[in-house]
Amino acid sequence: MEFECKDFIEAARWIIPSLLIILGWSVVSRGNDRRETRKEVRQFLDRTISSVENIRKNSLDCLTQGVCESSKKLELAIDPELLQMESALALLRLKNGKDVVDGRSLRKAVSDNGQYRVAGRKKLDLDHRVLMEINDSAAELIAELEKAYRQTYQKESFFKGLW
Amino acid sequence: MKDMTIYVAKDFSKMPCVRSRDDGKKSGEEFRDDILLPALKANDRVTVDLNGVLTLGSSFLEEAFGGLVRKGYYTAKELNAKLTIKFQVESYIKETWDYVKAARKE
Repeated sequence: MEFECKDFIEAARWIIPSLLIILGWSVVSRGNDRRETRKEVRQFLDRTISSVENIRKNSLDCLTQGVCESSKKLELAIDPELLQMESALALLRLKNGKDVVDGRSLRKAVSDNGQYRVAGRKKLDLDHRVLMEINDSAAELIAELEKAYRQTYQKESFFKGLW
Repeated sequence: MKDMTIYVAKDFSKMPCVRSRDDGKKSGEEFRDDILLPALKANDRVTVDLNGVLTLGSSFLEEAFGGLVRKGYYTAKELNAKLTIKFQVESYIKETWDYVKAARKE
């Protein structure tokens, strides 16, 4: 059976539009997937940032009172939340440059400042260095996360987004 | 070669977070002196598995691991050869080794 030119043209009338439809569907589908992923990451990031704010607030409330039942309750809340926050950041794996953003600075500012969970500590004045460091670390972490998110999800070119 | 693994959550505490014995139970000092140090002395290689803990304080890590160097038991190089730390969150492992490297003998 020999194929003539008109047979190829006939075949092309069906094949080319089909290929275009498949390509179009693929582009739209990938775009949707990327949008959904970005939305999920943003929601997860917002919850993590909320956690950072919560840790900051609880830490300040804890350290601005002496050792008492209330401060110990706050400690019980802060410690697991620090680990959960760090686990969440490890899952997010947002990067600034080559480094994955992690919560080490905040964790150190909260739990290794010479005051937190130290026996017989006194309540800290509101302008104490330790409180300033906790505030700074929390603010820096949030800023880094927002920057990393923007760099990852909001700077893609149209064509990069297609693939 | 004698190896040993310490499962912190099971063998010590699920909530290790304070630094010294004066600060409370299950401190970094207690872990280092009562569990880690004997294990390091009795074995060629020790793995500390932190998986399963619910909290992990920076002061606990510094005292437990950095304290090995500060108290003069081991150098950072010796610990690097002898000790392995396992945890699901990489940043805690990096932090711990930073404490070991930064520690200076008292």
